[in-house]
Amino acid sequence: MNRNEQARAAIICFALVGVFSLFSVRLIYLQVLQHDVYVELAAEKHVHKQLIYARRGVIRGSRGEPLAENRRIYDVAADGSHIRNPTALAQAIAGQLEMDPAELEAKLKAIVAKTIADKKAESKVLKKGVSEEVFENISKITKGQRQLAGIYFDLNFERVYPNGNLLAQVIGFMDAGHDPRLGIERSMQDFLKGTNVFRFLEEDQKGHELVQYRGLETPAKDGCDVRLTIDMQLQNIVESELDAACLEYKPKMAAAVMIRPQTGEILAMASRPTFDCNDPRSSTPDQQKNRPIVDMVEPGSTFKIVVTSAAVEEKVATPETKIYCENGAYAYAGHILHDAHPMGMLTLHQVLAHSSNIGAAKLAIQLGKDRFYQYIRRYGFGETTGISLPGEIPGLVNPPYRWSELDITRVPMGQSVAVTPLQLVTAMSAVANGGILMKPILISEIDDADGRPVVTYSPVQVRRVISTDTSRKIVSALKDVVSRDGTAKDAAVPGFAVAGKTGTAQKIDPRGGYLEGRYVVSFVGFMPADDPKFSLLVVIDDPEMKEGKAFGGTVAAPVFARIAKRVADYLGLQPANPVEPPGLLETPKKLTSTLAGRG
Amino acid sequence: MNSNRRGPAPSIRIASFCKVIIAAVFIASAGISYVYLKNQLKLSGDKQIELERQLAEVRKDNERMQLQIDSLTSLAAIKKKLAQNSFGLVPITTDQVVRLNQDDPNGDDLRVVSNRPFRK
Repeated sequence: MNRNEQARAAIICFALVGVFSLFSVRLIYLQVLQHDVYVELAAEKHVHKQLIYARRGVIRGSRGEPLAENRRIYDVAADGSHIRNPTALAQAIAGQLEMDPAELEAKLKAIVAKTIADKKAESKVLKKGVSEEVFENISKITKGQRQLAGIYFDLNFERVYPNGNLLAQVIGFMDAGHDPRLGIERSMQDFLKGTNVFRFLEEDQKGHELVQYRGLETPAKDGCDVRLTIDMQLQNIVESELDAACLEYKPKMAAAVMIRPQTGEILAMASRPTFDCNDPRSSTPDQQKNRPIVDMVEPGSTFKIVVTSAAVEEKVATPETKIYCENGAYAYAGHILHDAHPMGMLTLHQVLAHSSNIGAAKLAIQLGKDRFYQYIRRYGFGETTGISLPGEIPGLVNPPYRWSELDITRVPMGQSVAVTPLQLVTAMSAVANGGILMKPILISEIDDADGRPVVTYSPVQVRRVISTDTSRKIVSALKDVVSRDGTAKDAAVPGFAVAGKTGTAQKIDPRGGYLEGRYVVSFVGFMPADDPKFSLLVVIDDPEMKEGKAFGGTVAAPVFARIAKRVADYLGLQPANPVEPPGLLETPKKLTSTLAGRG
Repeated sequence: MNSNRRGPAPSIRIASFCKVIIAAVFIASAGISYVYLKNQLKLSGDKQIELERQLAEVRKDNERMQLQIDSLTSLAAIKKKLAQNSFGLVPITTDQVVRLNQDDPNGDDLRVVSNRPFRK
């Protein structure tokens, strides 16, 4: 090899080494330094993230019927890089999406134009929350049609409430952003929500998933089901009667709560005005209020159970102790306290039955404000009950050192204190339950997705407020409230002994004092009086009645009676007393002979 | 040419040949197995996807039907039907109720709610 040849060979060698070195450097740059960038780019082409939804837990009634469940919905999106014929696509699917074809076509063309301009796939949602039917129809229309390519669906879930406005404030709802609002939906969010997971899918050139490259995945964790203590049949009875009362009296608001006294289980809870959980956007904040726990009312005479039971328990008086009721006008601390009807000498029993303000005030004075206050608190007033619902308020009970001289006569008749309807019915349930205050419970059980109980809520005894003996004596007096001579004779249910107390509280004027002729009327009672199956409170705020006619006994008590009668039929309670029906139908002959045969 | 200067006749080295053949067969079969298994994996994957799709479809139908049942058996729906008298039901009156006295240890005596005696 001569020198020239050697030089040429050397140049070629250097050139080759140089070129391969450049390639190597580039390769190292791509494979090592830019590794993550290109992995991501490759993944964008062939791998996509699939969201695996966890099912949100179902809210159920006491018998397992669903009160809130999930429905599949889809967001319809268009991908600009895949759309081939916007005109044809718009014509094909506009009807299904209930959109104007021209408008849809313009939208699709804009998406395509943006994709071309940005040189980047542009995807835009055309319509949110379409039904499964629409999803299937569009899928059928576009399947295999290359000209109709470019439409995609994102699966989502919406909450469905089969009963509409029944129990609305207790159940709550989910807002458009899938965040829980109100009620059980909100308070039980941690249990109800599940845990979504992701799956990374690798696809071949045709877009088919390559399952063999799936990684190890953790299954989505579905939310737990929440079972309430609410009996929907009882809830329906309560709400339908409350609706009837609202039609009749056109009140500002109404509420009712039904409790099983022995366990504190809430059987029904209703508020008016109300709203449809399926359409919360059309409701007002006023309709969304769960009044039994967020509204404070002056309890009026229903509060007399506190002072009378305290007086008996503390042996300040017995049911037979006579109290002079000053013939309807009692001067105390420079003011005159009135009774609705002038009364003379009454026993404690009669003070409750006739709802004497003066009698109750005198008992409180004898008891002393400290002891009286102690009983108010022992009944649970002035503190939240701890129910599993958001926004519960404690009410307003001032400590004795903040009482005016007059308050010792006002508080016993339910003025100068504010309580929630739930507190009131819970306190009455304590009397019905032999003096034991139970914590109101709304949730009986939380089950996992496979139906296995995760949490079980048992009845919780808060404290003994009064003795069984005192409770029996107070129940006896409360039975007389519903007698012919009592203030709540309209609360009577034929065949059953009913015990209860009426309340008629003047409405508070926001500017101070009380509003003339405007009342919050209530009745709280239980049935059967001697073996109560339920206690029920009905509160009606500012019913439209003739002047001087709006009383707990005339407005709320009849509502209680109508509910109680239907509840007795539903629960199959046997009347203890003989019932005189308005007109007995002739007994079927077959039944008569059967009875005769049995002797 | 002297026959002694002739090179030895080429002979087939059986052992080496077999080694090569075995190695080739092994490599070929390993390759074919790999492709076969890959193919099986792909087919199983496709089958898995199909089964998953079917399962999802069944679940979806199940959910849909459950929702339909819940909606039709909801109190709201029943109340609506009742208002239209679709069930042909009439309200029951107290005097039409006859109860079995469950508390009676002697058994199934019938007791009417009303205290008015039956006409005989």
